[in-house]
Amino acid sequence: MSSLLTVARMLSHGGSRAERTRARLMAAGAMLATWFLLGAANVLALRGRLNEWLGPASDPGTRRGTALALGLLILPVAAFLHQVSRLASADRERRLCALRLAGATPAQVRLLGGLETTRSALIGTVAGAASYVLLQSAARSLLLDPGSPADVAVPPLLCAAAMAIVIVTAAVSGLLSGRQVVATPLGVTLRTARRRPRRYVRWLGLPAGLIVIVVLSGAGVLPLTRPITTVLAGAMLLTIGLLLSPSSLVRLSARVAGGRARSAETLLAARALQADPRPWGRTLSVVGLAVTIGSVAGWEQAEILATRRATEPFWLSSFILVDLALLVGIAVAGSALFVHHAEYLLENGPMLATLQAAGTPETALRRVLTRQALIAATPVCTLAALLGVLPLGASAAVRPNVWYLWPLPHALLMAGLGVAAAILAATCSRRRLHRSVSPVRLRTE
Amino acid sequence: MNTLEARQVEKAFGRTHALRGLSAKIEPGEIVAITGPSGSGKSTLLHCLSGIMRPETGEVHYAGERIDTLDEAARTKLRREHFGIVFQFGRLVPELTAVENVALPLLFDGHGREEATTVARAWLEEAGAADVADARPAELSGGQLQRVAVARALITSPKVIFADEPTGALDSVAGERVLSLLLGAARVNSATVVIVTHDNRVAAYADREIVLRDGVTAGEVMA
Amino acid sequence: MSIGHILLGLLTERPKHGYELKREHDERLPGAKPLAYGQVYATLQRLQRDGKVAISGTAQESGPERTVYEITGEGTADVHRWLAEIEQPAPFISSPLFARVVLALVAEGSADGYLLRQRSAHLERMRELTARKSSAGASVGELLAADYALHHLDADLRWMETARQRIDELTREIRA
Ligand SMILES: Nc1ncnc2c1ncn2[C@@H]1O[C@H](COP(=O)(O)OP(=O)(O)O)[C@@H](O)[C@H]1O
Ligand SMILES: [Mg+2]
Repeated sequence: MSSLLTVARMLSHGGSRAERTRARLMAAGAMLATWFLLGAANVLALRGRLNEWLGPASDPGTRRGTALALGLLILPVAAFLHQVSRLASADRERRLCALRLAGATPAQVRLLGGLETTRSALIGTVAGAASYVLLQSAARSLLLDPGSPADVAVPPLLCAAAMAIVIVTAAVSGLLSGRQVVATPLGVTLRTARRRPRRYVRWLGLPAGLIVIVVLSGAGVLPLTRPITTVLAGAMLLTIGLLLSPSSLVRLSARVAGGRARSAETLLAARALQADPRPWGRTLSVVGLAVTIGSVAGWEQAEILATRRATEPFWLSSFILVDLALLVGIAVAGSALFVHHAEYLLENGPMLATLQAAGTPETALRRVLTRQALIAATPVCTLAALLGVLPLGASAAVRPNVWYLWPLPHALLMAGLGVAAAILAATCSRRRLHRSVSPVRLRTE
Repeated sequence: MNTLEARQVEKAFGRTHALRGLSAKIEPGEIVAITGPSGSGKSTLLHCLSGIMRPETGEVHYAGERIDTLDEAARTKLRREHFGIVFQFGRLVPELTAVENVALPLLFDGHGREEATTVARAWLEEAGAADVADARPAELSGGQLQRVAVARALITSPKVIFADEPTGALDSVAGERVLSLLLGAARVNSATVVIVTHDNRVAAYADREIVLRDGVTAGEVMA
Repeated sequence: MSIGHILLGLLTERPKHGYELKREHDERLPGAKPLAYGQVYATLQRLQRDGKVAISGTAQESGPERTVYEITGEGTADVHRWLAEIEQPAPFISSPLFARVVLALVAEGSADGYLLRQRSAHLERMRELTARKSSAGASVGELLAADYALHHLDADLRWMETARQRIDELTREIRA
């Protein structure tokens, strides 16, 4: 074991630039996850009524929900980390194969993979916990009057549990990620083709949609007796079905866009998406979830604004906090797309450099990235917003109040934010693109 | 006329001097081989001549114009409109079919998709790769890949064709077919061809050879 | 390899007369040194003495009457025995190229100039052969012959490049 640790240390010194970036991004992701988990634990540990401006965390009745919401923010972080773990995977596989050829057993190779991710996770969680405790005590001394009876510190046990969850998850995913390579020690070039999503997964969405409708109508929100709601229910089924398999939605969108592409940029973007829609699907399902939740939240806001005239700080700060959380979720998912761009550019550098050498302007290649974002994100975000707005629309139509118009622009805003995040990720990848198409990448040896 | 000329060109990568004051002149319609041992600066010279790279000192002229001082956008335009470029491994876009790959330069030039595809099919036919027009690069053999890459370089009817080890990854017979395709098309359009190669049998297809050694010419051998 | 074996090989198709054998030799092995008629005649007589060919008659086309030879059973066996053997990989270097490089070093202290001139001559010959290969209507024999010559010239060129680098290295070592 100790000799393995030595090897791990040697490897971490000799890693490529992309691999060092991966380690750093992983630590950053672990830090985010720690923050959110600690936040959730912290909310659960609060006792008594607190300042109303703390929103849902101020009231004991809404604390569980708040903690759950904070916990849910782990989802975009997971999408981000998954994308990060794919970064420079070619480098990593090459290295693991070399280790196998040098005499490492499959178990040792897997262990090394686990050590690598554990190391990053350890750094991330420790940094995360330390910064959280620091920030929290600072905030406590600023926000709470010293005489308050409320105890807002995170209990050490919960804190340790949150950190352990992150580290163990990282270790397990690291152990699992070496599977392919262990199977084929000589197989760097034999990288197994990416598995297509299984057919039945695509249709899982339909029964899921049905269940949602039944639950909603059971709760009295959605009267199924009216014909319009039946139509809506059908639309919703389809929407949910597609949203649960966003990869196929992305592929479909890419196929349509590729088929009618009039420009080289759109064609390149669409075909790249069609060939590998899964990273987009994974990430966009998280973005889509945030957009749907945001759109539903629009109704909640309308309801409260219409009935209570909504100037109470509790509700105002609740609205703001929910939207903020959604924004954070979308932003984290967006950075997962940024990481995916990095991987795409790493893999396709020589090909893009060749296009550029043949006289394709770099601005055109930039447009390829932005169009990928548009083609993939637009349908997913639109459907997600519709899914959030439509079901409740029918019941709202009967209540004439100007506030019930609010969910529409709100949903539109959410969808727009989702697409904007994807485009922003593409824009941020420009410098990387510039580096990937430099003539240096034309060298073959 | 479209003479291509390098004057006292120098280019270094960190401490490696790839080109040290190299001069060479290539007349319109000439077929020239750039040969020399590996690491002698052949590829770097090709990159400088084709405006992919800018030398640190010295000048590169094309058609009476100095091109090494042009900005990236102007050189990109020059490459797209006047030059065709072929590299060792084809370097096609993996997600596009062969015919779409060939059509790309026209699409980037703003031509309609229908028109671009039709012209691309004609070029694939010319290149003897019509049967794989709808296959993706991963399904093609090395020779087929290279013929598709040549068709892509030729589709804009370039005045100068640059090829860096175009047959490096092929066996002799497949290599011969790629070369005859490239040179045949060039002769028809009276295009200039610059081939970088370390294979003497490929060099024998050229009218003239420029031998490089350590970043300078060892001697130019006239036909 | 001997002329005897080549003539026997050509006779396996059908009986032929001496002039026909000379013509076919030159056609089928293009690029090989052409045979003198006297050589063909002498070889046939030797083969006849050894019982490998026999006279099968005479033929007259548009010139003098010519003796037609056919291959015997023993001759056929001899051809196949020969084809079953391999050619001895060249045991001695008899290339004048090699001698010139060494003597250029001895007499002039450097072979660089010679190597460059020789490279240019070799490449010029390779260009001719390549052009002939690319010309329309080249026969299979001509293609094979051109390939054979091209590969050998290429081997010479590669050896010359290695020699240049080797000499460079040695000179640098001596100076250092
Ligand atoms: N991007 C680069 N970074 C560092 N060194 C380079 C780079 N490109 C070329 N070189 C060096 O410059 C020299 C010439 O390279 P190159 O032109 O590729 O040679 P050739 O094509 O003749 O093999 C070599 O020593 C090579 O290592
Ligand atoms: Mg090179």
